[in-house]
Amino acid sequence: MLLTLNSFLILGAVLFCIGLFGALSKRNAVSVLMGIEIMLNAVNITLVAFASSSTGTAHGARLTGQIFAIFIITVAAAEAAVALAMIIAIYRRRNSVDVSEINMMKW
Amino acid sequence: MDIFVRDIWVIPLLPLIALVLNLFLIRPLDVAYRDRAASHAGAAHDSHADHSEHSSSEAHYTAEELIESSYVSAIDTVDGHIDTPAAMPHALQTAQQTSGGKQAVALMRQWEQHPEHPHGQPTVYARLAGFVGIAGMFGSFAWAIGALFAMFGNTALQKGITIPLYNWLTFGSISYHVNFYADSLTVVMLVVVTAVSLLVQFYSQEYIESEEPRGYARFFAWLSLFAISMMILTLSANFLMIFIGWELVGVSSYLLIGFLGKDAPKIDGGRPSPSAAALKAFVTNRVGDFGFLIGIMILFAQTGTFTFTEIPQKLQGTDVTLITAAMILVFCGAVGKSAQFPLHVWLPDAMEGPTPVSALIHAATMVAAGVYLVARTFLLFHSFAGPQAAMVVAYTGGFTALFAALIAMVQVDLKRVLAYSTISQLGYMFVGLGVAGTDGPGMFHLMTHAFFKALLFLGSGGVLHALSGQQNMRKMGGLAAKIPLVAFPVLLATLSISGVPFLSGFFSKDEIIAQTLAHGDIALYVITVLTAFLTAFYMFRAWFLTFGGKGGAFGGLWGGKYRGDVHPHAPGMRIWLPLMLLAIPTVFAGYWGFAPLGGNFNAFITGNPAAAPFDNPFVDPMTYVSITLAFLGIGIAWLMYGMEVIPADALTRNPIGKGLHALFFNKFYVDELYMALIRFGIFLFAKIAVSFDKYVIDGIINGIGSGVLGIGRGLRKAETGRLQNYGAAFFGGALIIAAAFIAVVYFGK
Repeated sequence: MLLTLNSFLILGAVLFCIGLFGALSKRNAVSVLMGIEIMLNAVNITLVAFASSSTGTAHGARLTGQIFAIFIITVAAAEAAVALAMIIAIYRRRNSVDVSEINMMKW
Repeated sequence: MDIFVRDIWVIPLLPLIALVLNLFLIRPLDVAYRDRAASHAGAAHDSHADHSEHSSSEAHYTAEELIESSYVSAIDTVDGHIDTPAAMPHALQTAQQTSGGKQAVALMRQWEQHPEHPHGQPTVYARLAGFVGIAGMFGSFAWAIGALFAMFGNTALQKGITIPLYNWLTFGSISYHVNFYADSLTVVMLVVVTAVSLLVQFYSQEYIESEEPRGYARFFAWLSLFAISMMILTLSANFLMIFIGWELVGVSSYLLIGFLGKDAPKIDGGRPSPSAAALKAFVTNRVGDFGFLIGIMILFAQTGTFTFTEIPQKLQGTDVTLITAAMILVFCGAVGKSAQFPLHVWLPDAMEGPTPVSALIHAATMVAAGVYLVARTFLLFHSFAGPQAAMVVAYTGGFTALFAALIAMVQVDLKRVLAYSTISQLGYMFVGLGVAGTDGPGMFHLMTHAFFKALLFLGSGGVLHALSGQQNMRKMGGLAAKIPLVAFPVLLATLSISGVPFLSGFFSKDEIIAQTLAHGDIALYVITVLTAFLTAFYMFRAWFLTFGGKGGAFGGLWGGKYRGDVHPHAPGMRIWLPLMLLAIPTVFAGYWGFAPLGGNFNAFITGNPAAAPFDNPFVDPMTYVSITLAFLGIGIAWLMYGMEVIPADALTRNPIGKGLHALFFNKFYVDELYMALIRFGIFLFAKIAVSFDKYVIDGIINGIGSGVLGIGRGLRKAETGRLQNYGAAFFGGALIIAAAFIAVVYFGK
């Protein structure tokens, strides 16, 4: 079975959905974070797949997606650091990382 | 000499200076001076504040001050026939010594509510205000006389010159100019206004001193304001300026009618308060002004200019019907200001103002503004509008003349008789303007009427002054013997208005009557002649009831039985001198229009030396009809009220006479009709409007409010505060959009 672009896109979509389900359904804040990471990586796969299958002839046309992916990995690392710091802060304050209890964002 | 006309702006400037000085310098000094005098009085002062009849800032004299100061002498000079005032100083002193301040204050209050209470004397500053006002008016009068003489024989000036003052506004090609315009019409009006104003201000010194000394400076300031407004109205070169002057005289009229405030003391009941009368005058005039303004707008829309001299040139070829409508609307303004039917109701009530004001504004000058307006736009009425416009003017005037004369026949309030007489005479002027080929006859009657009616009013003021405010003629009688210096000029004016030959009123009135015949309008002729008869009757009825009566000299003409209970006191020089001075034009002004002696008022007012003078009344046989009727009217009045050989109720014994008397006495129930209209018309409309507002407007507004609130209540439930719910909503939304997008892309084609 030949690995075509579609294979990577389906993989990306599947991973994205798994990540989304995790981010929306898990009660543990760390699990939510992990779901988000999966979603980010799903996007990375999609970007790299598009980049490598590109037939563009312009300068750097086949690199754009890959550079995007590197950027996303960097930002995701920073995001994970900030999010974990927040989770720790919330845990210290409320002794829990259950997101269903963190509902201060309303009227 | 031309300088008097070219620099005619001096005329309104001088009273303006007087107004500014009086209002912003002298009156504050006057008030401050009186307040200081009052604050010296001590403890009793505070207890006076709560019953203050007038503005609380006005000073009140206290008991202590009354005893110590000039008040005692003021009371002593009050006539001995009045018991309370004469006894006051002694009673006050006793009260002070026995029970201290309290009883003195109580007595003081009692005394202050007494009609004879002099309210103190005007301060030296108040008197200064009077002098400043009179000096300004005298300058204006002298300048106006100069302008009048500059115009004699100078046809170019008589035709009019424009005196540019400044350019007010410019919008594109349209400019609004504040310009003065002086022609013979302007100057005649200005001479009348300044002459009557000057004499009335001189007269007011003594009158207001006894009526309301605390408002002395204010009164003179408002008189100056009125004079300025009237001069602006008279001098204006365009509709915009005349409207400004028009409204300014309305305001000053309002201020002066309501001068005595809402609780003015009155001897006889059943009269409206001055404040209510002022409001009525102002509001009634608004009705007319509404039409006036629309008329101006129509003319402006047609011509693009407000200037009187330019409008006729630019109106060439405009639809006659439109101009007719515009001129009738302009005439609405005149109907309001000149108190013609159906907007006449304010003038009789305006008599609640001080009598000098009635003489100046509501007899001689302001009410003549409507006549002046029609004369100023005479060309538009007669050459551009259809014949209906002039007919509306003439018939409104004719109807009003008869209507008001019928009412005047049976009134018992001296000033109201004169008020209805004024309305009636203004009607004559409009008849003159409506039927004659020039504005000469109407303006001629305006001029002579201004003098004799001002004289009659000032004379009635002299009577009121002598009788401490009594206006009811049933409480007068025989006063000629008691105040002859007032009675004599008033008799001349009464003869003049009655149309007795060789007096001014005869010439001007007869010219108008002759013009109705020359115009071929028999109906108007009958109306005017009948009104002339009624005028002679009601004026002499008023004369006999006031000054004459049974037992007087010359068959009751001079003196007679006095029916009142107030002891009449003779007025001073400042009251009778203006009357005497006004008697001069009352007798002689008519000869300006008497052709055999070379008088040609018509040529002067039209600026056309070739204009035919008024016909010599004595060669026209019809004149003798009106002379006979005038003497008949005088004779009947003499028999009924002078010799009293015919009982006064001779005609009212039968039911028809009784009904007519009630109809006339109640002024044809016009006031009641208007009130009924307001009650059932306007109030009904107001109720509908209220319920519309309550249910429809408020319903919409409240509905929006509670609707938004309800939606908000529902929507807040969506705000769980859980991030995951928001995320689900976000991605759900994205999914829906994506599905829609796909649907459009794949199935939309």
